[in-house]
Amino acid sequence: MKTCLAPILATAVCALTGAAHAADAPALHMAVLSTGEPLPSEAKALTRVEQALARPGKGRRFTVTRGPATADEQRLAAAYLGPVPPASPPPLPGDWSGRAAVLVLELRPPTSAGDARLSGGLGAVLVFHPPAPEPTLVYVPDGLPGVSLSRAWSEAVGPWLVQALALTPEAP
Amino acid sequence: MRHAPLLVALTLAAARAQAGDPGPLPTTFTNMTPDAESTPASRACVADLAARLAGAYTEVRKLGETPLREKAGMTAGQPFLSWPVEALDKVRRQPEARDGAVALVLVDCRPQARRLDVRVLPKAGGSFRIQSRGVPLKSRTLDWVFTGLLHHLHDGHEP
Repeated sequence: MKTCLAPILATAVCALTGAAHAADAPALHMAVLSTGEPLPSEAKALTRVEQALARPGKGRRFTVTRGPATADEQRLAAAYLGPVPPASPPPLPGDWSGRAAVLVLELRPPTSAGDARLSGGLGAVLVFHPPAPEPTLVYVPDGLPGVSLSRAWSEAVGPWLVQALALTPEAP
Repeated sequence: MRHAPLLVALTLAAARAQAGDPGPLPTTFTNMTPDAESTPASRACVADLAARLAGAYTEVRKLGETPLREKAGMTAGQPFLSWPVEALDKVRRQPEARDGAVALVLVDCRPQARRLDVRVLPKAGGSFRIQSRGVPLKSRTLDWVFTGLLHHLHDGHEP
């Protein structure tokens, strides 16, 4: 009887504690900058990033939301996406308060090959930890093609984005 | 996760070996940390990135900040992240190099201030920057920076 109950109890305890941890997990928002609706391959890659950030594991676990960048988020990102970083950090969007982290991802415009539309790949990456006004991590390419999300996912891009959120700011 | 940059570098090297090797990527590397901010920790950080580069199929050639500024025609005090690509092209273009150009990697690392700026110009053109603010510049952060650096570093140096 004991041996039968043990796995059931363990499962129930894990489910309950898992739910509690999920409720406690800090809020992370993924703001996606793109010229239109992401292509299916891009949406799939973004979902995998989202799932990896929400999954308990070696990295930090978040309660993740995702959406297209708002006008405020686009304005903020534009300040960092130029070839030169801004002299002083622009204000953060008001609705970022309460979020532990915000991951801004730029998708490059898709290209066409015959009838097919191909992903332009990943462009810039910005990681913010509100209320700190400056992004903690910045990756901004200038005059370079996007990094392929599908081909390179398992090699570097996906784990690289997840790894970025494991790096948290500390006072010097 | 910690071994991801190494795996990328090894995969890159293996692919090149199979496909007709152009040899290691000649890379000019400059420590841009201001003298006033230079500490043993900052020098160790810069050396760490240089060593990672050397392990990623590059031939690292160090160039001092003063000769870099002279070649680029940029005056002291102007932050290197704001230098126009055209100025750095004067350093990137080297007629004696294969394809007439090298890659450039410029690093300003200040662990005491939790601040890192990296500017990279792949040999084929374009540029990218990686910055870190407020994050302790330990191995995990440098792993992230270096993986980002590899996304485009070898552009234009394929077999």
